[in-house]
Amino acid sequence: MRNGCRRVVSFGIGLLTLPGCHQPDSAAPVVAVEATTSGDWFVEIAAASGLEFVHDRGATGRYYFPEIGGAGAALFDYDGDGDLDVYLVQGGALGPDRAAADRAGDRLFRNDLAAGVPRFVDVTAEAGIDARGYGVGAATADVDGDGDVDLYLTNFGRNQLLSNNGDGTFSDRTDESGTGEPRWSSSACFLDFDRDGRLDLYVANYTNFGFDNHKDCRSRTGNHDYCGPQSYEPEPDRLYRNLGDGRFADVSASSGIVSHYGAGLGVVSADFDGDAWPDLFVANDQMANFLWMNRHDGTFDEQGLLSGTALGADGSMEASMGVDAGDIDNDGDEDLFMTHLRAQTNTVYVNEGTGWFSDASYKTGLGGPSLDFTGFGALLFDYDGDGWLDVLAVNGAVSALEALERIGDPFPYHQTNQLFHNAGAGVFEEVSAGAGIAFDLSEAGRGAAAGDLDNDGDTDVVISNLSGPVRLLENRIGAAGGFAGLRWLAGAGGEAIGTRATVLRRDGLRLTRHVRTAASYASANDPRLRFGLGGTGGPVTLDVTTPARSRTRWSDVPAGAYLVGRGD
Amino acid sequence: MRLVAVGACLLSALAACDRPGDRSPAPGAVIEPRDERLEPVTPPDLASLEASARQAVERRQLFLRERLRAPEVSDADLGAAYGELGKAYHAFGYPASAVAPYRNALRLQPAEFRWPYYLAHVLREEGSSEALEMAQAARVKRPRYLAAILLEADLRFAGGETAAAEELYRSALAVDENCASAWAGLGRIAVERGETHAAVDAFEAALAASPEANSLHYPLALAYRRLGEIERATEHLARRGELVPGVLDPVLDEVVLGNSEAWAARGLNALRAGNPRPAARDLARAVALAPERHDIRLHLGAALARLGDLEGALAQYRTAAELEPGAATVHYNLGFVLGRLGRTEEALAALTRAVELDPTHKAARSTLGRRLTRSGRHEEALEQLDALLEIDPNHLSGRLWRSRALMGLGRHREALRAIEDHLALHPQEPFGRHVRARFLAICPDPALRDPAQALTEALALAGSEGTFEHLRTVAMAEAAGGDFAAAIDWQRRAIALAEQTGASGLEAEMAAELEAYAAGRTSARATW
Repeated sequence: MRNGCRRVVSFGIGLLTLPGCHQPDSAAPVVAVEATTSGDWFVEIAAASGLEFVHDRGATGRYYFPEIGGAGAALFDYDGDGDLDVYLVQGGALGPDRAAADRAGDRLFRNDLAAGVPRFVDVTAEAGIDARGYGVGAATADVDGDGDVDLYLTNFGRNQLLSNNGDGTFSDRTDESGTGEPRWSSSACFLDFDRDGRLDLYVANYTNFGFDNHKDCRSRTGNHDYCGPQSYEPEPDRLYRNLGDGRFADVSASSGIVSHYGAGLGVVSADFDGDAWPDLFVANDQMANFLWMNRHDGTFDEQGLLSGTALGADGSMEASMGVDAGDIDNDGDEDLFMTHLRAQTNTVYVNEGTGWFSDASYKTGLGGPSLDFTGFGALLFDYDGDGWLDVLAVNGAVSALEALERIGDPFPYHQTNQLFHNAGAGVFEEVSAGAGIAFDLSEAGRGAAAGDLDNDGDTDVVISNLSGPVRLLENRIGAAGGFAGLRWLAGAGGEAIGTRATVLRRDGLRLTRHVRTAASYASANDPRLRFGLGGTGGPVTLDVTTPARSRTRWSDVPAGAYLVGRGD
Repeated sequence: MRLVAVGACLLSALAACDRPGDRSPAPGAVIEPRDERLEPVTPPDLASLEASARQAVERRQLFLRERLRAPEVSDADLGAAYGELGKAYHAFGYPASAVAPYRNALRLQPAEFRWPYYLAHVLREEGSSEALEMAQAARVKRPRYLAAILLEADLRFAGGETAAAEELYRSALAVDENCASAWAGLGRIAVERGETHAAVDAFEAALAASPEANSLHYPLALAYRRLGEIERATEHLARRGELVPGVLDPVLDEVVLGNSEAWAARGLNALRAGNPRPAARDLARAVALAPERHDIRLHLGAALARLGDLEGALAQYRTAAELEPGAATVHYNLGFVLGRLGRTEEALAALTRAVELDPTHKAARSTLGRRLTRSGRHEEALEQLDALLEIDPNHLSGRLWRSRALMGLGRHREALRAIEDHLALHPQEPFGRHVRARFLAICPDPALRDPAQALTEALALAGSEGTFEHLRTVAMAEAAGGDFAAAIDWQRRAIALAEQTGASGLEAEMAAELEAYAAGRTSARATW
């Protein structure tokens, strides 16, 4: 439900307030959350809000592999005005004879939020953004510690680092930074792997497809169709260490990252074993996934197999696409959810607390319903504000679907998306049918980014479709039960990625969330944390542990507001 | 395949079936039902199928149309015709199209086991929840048919009905106590329930029943891990593979049994799509049905080679060469795999034969040139590579291999020119940049050797590429510049990375280089 204006309080070392809002009430009204049986939970408002963008995959008829991958989206507050803006990654003309100038390029949309209603304006040109690579993904973080959010763009082709100048414009710092990875990259993730206070960069690379090694792949019926990852060689990922002076050092070899090659599509960083050092999970397409455990000395150890996250429960390799981490069972550790190819289940790996996982795909009820879908965007978020992380799978095929071909569909790759409700006991139920007509849309979904675009305390979603329009699903029910919000900033800079926050609700339920932006497929989420109170009301107790391991506890934190804190 | 039994019309040319004034409908026209019990069948677009496969499907469509037009046809006969058409669609990759003919077949032959069983399979492929209903219907008709029991059990497990699935897996074991798939199903259920000891027992039983199903080592390893038996878990992880337990299913095999075209088409598509394991399986079936087809053997050889089974690939290529001795590609493939097996002289002979048969065969010339270079037969290599570049002046690696042959002949300046020519054509190509860095580091001619430039270029590559070969080149450049301590350091890193990445075959060479650096010498034998 829309509040018109969110409430914000500030605490900690730094203080931030958002314009036009009053100070918080000490306790938000308690609203019971009931299962909604009528009315749309999500309403699609992209075009109505000015978010007009259609992805162009640059289909040539040659079935070049990148044409089927699509692109992601990023939600971030580039102008520091307190609301989330939207960055949409674009494909465009593709082929050996096509140049960057042939492409329209990515778009940045500024959110001019007014009275709780998002209004988007295309500010790409005025922001000085010239991103005309064949785009795949976007990652966001304050790379240079100057307090504003920078952008890293992954491409089929050279990646780009766009540094936020703090005045509404960006400068291309790819060359100076040394992060212009030329391979086909998919997702990227900022993390402070060496805990030196500077955000480092992990780039997941895909395969060695090139126009000179393009293969002629066919569907089972002999039609031209897109190849799978096994038609090409996987590429090694990259790890860049932030040197703090605008430059990054490529430490892929010395960190051990290049010891394993995979066709990476998704990446997420989290402290999986609870040792206070950020680890990495890389979702690989039709290959074993990687779980890179941080060894605290600048190197990583690949533990996918023993951890139980490399393969499906039966030992088969799965085509992992998007991935998200989150505490789905509210036991304090980070679990994993990832989307897969049709005929494979989407997979949930439940953390046993030590970085070892159990495949709970069927047990949770998330496996079976996903068998007919190819999932890309993967999000764990609490859509109904009951305190339990739910699941959104954004779907779209990579091979032509015969049932659609039979009816002469000119783009036989589209599927509907799926929303699953977490019932709170480790069991999920698909609720797509009741979630609104937005879930009747059948499109070739790829990226998905979650964030509170109207600052009403619940989580909205931006979905990027392959060869289709972007969608903005505005959440209409998530804040009804009340929420506690948190934005945590590093001492001198922007979002303190890696911060862990725990809210103790009045009903005794403990919710643990982590500040991160990179997740899903090729996308970047709102870094703010929202704790659904499920009608239990405030105040709540909040416990924050920063990446530098300083820990602070507040009691009597009011509900219904984003609290803003700062500290290393 | 029982087409022979269904009427003389099918055995003759299609035109001969036409009666005067009776125009056959177009193959793609909807096949209308005879009565209200049945549903129309919309044929899929068959244009992309290989001609022989397309004709096979169209024959069954035509046969069904004939049956429908015939004045007196029993339900059983018509049901069989619908079913055969469903099987054709099913076999050639049109599961959605197979649904309607299978449904009609079931309506006309309700006692027949095959139609609900096939329907369950295609509906599962289409993600339809009706698959379970059909699987159950099939199992009821043949309660001791293992594959049907397991199909229903798997569908029930996927739907969260673990108790019902367990009952079915146990009933499968009552039919065959060594059914690995059933034991594996019970293992999965035990894992879901957190009954780790039971899971271990079930997976152990599955592996005992089917030791080749090495994918089962993974869930077994995780079960041992859960019990805290890390050593055993690690042991099983090391043994894991991709083979899954299977069960004999002659009824499903019947869909494509006897149809080499269907198996070959499925296998080739899987191979093109980069899935060599199912490709090898299906192509092997096609070869079994049509052992005289050298083209299918070529594909099977390629699939086996992709799986690392070089001896298996070699056997297929040898037979293909006997069947079609005049095909250049057969000899090229033979030479390629012989080279991979280290049988250099035989490889050179086969590749030479390929080039003789087809002087424009670029892959054969390129591979022959490389093999000759590696064998130290530089003059002959140059001859092949020059011919290659005449055929394809922009060939991606021809000039680089030519440069190596020229190096071998001591024609260093020409070698450098070949590298520069390559980079002029392909400026961003990383292997070319790597070769130039190495040339500058190791060239015996001091007028061309440039250790400082080599180091700059090699470091740039080591940063962005990070392969052991790049680190090795940095070591060569450091040694050429006289900094042997740095060379030793880089060489050790290269060796470590080569071990990590599983690069093999160069251990001795790299160790010798390290020894040379330790002795304050550059490596005399280095090349690219």
